[in-house]
Amino acid sequence: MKIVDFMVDSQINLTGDVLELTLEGDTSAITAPGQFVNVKLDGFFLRRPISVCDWTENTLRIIYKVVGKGTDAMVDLQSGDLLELLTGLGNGYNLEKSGDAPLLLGGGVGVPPLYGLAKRLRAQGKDVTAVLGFNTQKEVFYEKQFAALGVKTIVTTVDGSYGEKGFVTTPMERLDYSYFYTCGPMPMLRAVNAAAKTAGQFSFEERMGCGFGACMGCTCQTKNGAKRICKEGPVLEREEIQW
Amino acid sequence: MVNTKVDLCGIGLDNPVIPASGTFGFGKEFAELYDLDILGTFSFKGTTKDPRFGNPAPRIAEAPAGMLNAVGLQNPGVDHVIAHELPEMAQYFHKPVMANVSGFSVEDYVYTCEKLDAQSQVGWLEVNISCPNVHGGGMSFGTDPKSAAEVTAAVKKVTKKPVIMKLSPNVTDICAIAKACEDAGADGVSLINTLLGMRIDLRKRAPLLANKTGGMSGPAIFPLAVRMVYQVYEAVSIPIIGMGGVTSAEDVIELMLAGATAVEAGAVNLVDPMASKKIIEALPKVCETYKIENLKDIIGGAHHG
Repeated sequence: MKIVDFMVDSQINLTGDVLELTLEGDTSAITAPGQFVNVKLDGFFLRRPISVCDWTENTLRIIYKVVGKGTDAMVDLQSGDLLELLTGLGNGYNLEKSGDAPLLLGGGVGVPPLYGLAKRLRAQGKDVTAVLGFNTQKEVFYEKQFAALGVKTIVTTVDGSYGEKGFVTTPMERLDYSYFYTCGPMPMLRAVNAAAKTAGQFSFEERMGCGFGACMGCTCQTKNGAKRICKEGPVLEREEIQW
Repeated sequence: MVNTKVDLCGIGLDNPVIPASGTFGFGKEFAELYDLDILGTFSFKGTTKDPRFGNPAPRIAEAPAGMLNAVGLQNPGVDHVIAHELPEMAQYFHKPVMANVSGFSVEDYVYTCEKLDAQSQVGWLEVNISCPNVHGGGMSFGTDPKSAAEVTAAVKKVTKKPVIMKLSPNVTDICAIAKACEDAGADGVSLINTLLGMRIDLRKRAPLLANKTGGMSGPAIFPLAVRMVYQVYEAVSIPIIGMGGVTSAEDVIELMLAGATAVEAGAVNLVDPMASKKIIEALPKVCETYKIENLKDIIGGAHHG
């Protein structure tokens, strides 16, 4: 973990309430896709944990959805503004287990951390397929970005207004894959677990106090004992999860 | 040159700043960021006889100028703390540490305190009779003077280490509880633990915390802490550790003027992991501003006749 002041480079609107922030600053504490940062916001006591979408040595990209007052305040961030972040939090995805043809399944704002993962799996020459699930056409984002990495990209919408009608598990049923990685809302994670044919990794979300392991606010029970979502998580392996 | 040393129940502290239990784990996460030996001491995660998972999630909620928690005393149990946490802590903390103890019966408290009494790293026992997030224990001992006295007397029998009773603000008269602890032999009292609160999720129309209620901490509660420390200082003659919403060196001095011998900083460590270090580093300068040469001389300094 590092405490770093980042400068806002740009902020763009991806859909109605999903925004992409590009920040400049020291990213050296970030070691794996699926890790997160904890953002200090003026006027709020607790920080806001947001997953890392992608990073380079001195740039960081995060994507968030406006779900409450904290994220609503982030909409006003402009180029040149400073943001204090705790970076390099959580364990992130383990790429070593991917096999040759990993499947990535993201739902809504669960999609962003899979982008950084896809990029790194592609750099290792893996044959990556991504299923990106949304409720409806106007919520769809990042399809082109995944495709540009050379990832076989399938979009699903619940109402069938774009891509394949259904959930991320709809194409999952017919696909062949060596391993899977997923991030999304809890009902989706349960469905993925029920449909999965291989081992895999799930990224979880929980309300956090500190984000770095001190407060025990986000602990969950696993088959290997209590784990802090912010420290031993947010990524857990399929075989250890207690549904 | 400002002297920040204070004496807490017979053990010297280089400065009065103590990260509070439940906001600092066993120190490990913070030791990665700074040298913990700059602290007066720290109070480690509330420890019980048996391991505890704590309450279901969500356990945390935002509040105006603070937060609610309903962690519910998650800890690995005293045997694990002694076998694993304390030896590990010896690598990165080289001062007497404050052991925070909780329980669900007088026997629980006695069992845990007796085991921790045998640990040379432990300087003080901070006995939590004020956790608002557990049922059938915790705060129920701290809201009745008789029960508070009973726990105090029982624990005192099994330890030679100073016993500091951690008090709940969720009472009509905190002075009566403090006095009962003093009369039963307590070496000190620490206050305040969190205040019982609740938030409701507007979409779900249900309490936000799975436990429904949680303990409020953070800067919003600071004036309540100052008031209660001030009142308890007039009721007892044993040392007081003041806490509740502390975020700055000025807050430390304010609580000491109210009557605190030492001061715990809690929730602030969670949102700024460097907070306790910053408070300690700011202390000498702030002392100079207020013409304080010996910090211990200001304890209770706001009481005039």
